[in-house]
Order: sequence, then structure tokens, then C-alpha cells
Amino acid sequence: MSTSSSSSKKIVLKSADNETFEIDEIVALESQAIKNMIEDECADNVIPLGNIDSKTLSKIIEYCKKHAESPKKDDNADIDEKAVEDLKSFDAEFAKVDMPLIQDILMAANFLNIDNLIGLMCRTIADRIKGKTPEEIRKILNINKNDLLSPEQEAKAREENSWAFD
Amino acid sequence: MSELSTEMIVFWILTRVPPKAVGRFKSVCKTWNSLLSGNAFLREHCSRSAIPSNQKVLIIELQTSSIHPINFETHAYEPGTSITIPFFHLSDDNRFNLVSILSHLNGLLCVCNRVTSDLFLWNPVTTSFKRLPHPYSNDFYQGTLDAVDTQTNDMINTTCDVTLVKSRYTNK
Repeated sequence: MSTSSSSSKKIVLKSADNETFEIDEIVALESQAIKNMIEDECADNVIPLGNIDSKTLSKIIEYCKKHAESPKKDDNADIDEKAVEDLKSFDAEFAKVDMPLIQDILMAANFLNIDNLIGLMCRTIADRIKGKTPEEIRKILNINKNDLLSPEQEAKAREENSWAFD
Repeated sequence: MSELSTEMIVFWILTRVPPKAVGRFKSVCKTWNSLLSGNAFLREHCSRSAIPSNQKVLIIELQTSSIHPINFETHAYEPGTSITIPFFHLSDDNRFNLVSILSHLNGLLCVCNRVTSDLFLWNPVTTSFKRLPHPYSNDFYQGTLDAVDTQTNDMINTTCDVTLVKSRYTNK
């Protein structure tokens, strides 16, 4: 992180429900999409995020703040272990929210192009669904009922993968 | 906000669940069934498994014929799954008595039936296996780990696309 935070520029984000969030530029730079806008000098005014609601956006800002404050691996090869542990436990706490919000955060992180956050949300969802049965999965992820296997196809899929069901 | 796309669910999330869950999730719906069986998914899943922090060690217990994954980061010793040797091995009690593990790589085992000296590549997690061409002599493979080296491409965990580059066996 080369820029000093003392005289930092502010960026204003506006959520779908018209709430505005003023954040330090350094925090906004966690988003590759916003970083590109700033570099192309298209970020002078308010940045409207018409597909992200304020609840999701405030979570995302919380994440970006924490990660912007933490020393980056590529800046300094021997950053202290404590900072790494600290960030890990922050991530673990951050992910303790319900499934709909996790999915919203993932969609928004994808739109804003925040790599680490995409990874964190995907790992969280994977951990939550890995022990579930196919029936439970269909509910959790709202699988289209027109896409279900026929009883014969399902029996065959279960038979072929019987090792995975015990 | 709209829902996650199938692409995101399959290639971002399902590439992060263990092989056993992948096997089970093939019954979820038609789209998942075909995508989870495809090479693009297998390759992606394998490349994630190859990241050191995602790796687990499988402990094989000979007495109980079961495998236990151990996660080195969390030190978690996961519950064992009993494994069925998927090929003819001439043992009444389904133990490894007549089966030697010659070598292993990325979760694949190269095993040998000590009586018939048949060679197999075997993935004990997914139970898939492939019989290797029979050796040209009646000699037996030794149960030493350096007996066979295997060279692999990136699909090792889920397919048996493997090349044997060296084998050595001794006369008995």
C-alpha cells in the first residue's frame, strides 16, 4: 500500500435503495471494478450501485475496510503471523450470516470484482452444503423443479455414486 | 437481487466441496448431473484440490479397511469410511492381506494383487479403478513404495489418466 491514508480522498457509493456511503479511496480500491473506474477518472461523483442494497453494501464496506487496513502479502513477505490470524478470524466472523445474505454478498462481490471476498463466500457456501442430501440442496439453492431427474435417472445416478451416500 | 447463476454455483462453489459430496450432488438435478460429470468440472475441482492448503492426507487402516482423511491445517481427523476393494482380490474378509500398495500419488493408489500380480490404479475415495496391462513375466511386485513411479496429468483425482513411467520388480 503506497498511498498514505492521512490525506486520503473520499469515494461516495450509492446503494439501490438510495443510501450513500462515504469511504476512503483506499477502502474502495479493494474492488477491482471501482479501482478501474478511479483510474479511468470516472469516479469523481457518486458511484451508483443500482443492484446492491444498503444491507449488502454495508457488509461489503466492512469487509473492504478490514482488508484495506491489513498488511498485504505482496507488500511485505514476512508480515507477522498475528495479522494473518487476525484477518482469518475476522473472515470467519464475517461469514456468520444467513444464506440469502451470503448469496447477495457473493453476487455483489462478483459485480464489484473483489476476489478475496468471492473466494470467502464460495468457501462458506461450500462448507454449509457439503453435508446435505440432494433433497436439502434443492431447497437451499432453489433448484428449478422442471430440471429434476426422472425417477429412473435419479435411481441410476444414486446407484452409480452409491459410495457417496453412506 | 437475482439468484446465483448455475455457472457460479457449479464452477465456484461445487468445485470446493469434497468428492463425496460431488458424487451425491449428481442426483440434485439434470443440469448438475451433466456438469458435475464433465471434464471441465473435473479439471477445475482437481486444480483446487492441488492447492496445498486444501490438501488432506488419507490414512488407510489395514485392520479395519477404512480410510480417514486428515486435515493438516485444522488437525481434524475425520470419521472413517470403510472401503470395499473394487476388484477381485481373493480375500474372504475384504482386507488388504493379498493386496500390496506399491505407490501413491495425489490420492491415487497403485496396488497389486500379490497372488495374481495384477496391477490396478485405484482411487479409494471415489472407488473408481483401472486395471493396468499385465506384466510380461510371472514375477511379483514388492510392497515397497519406490516400486512404481507415476506421472500424471491434472485429472488424476477423478479419472485414471495416468502414465506409468517406471516399474521395477524382483524375482522371488
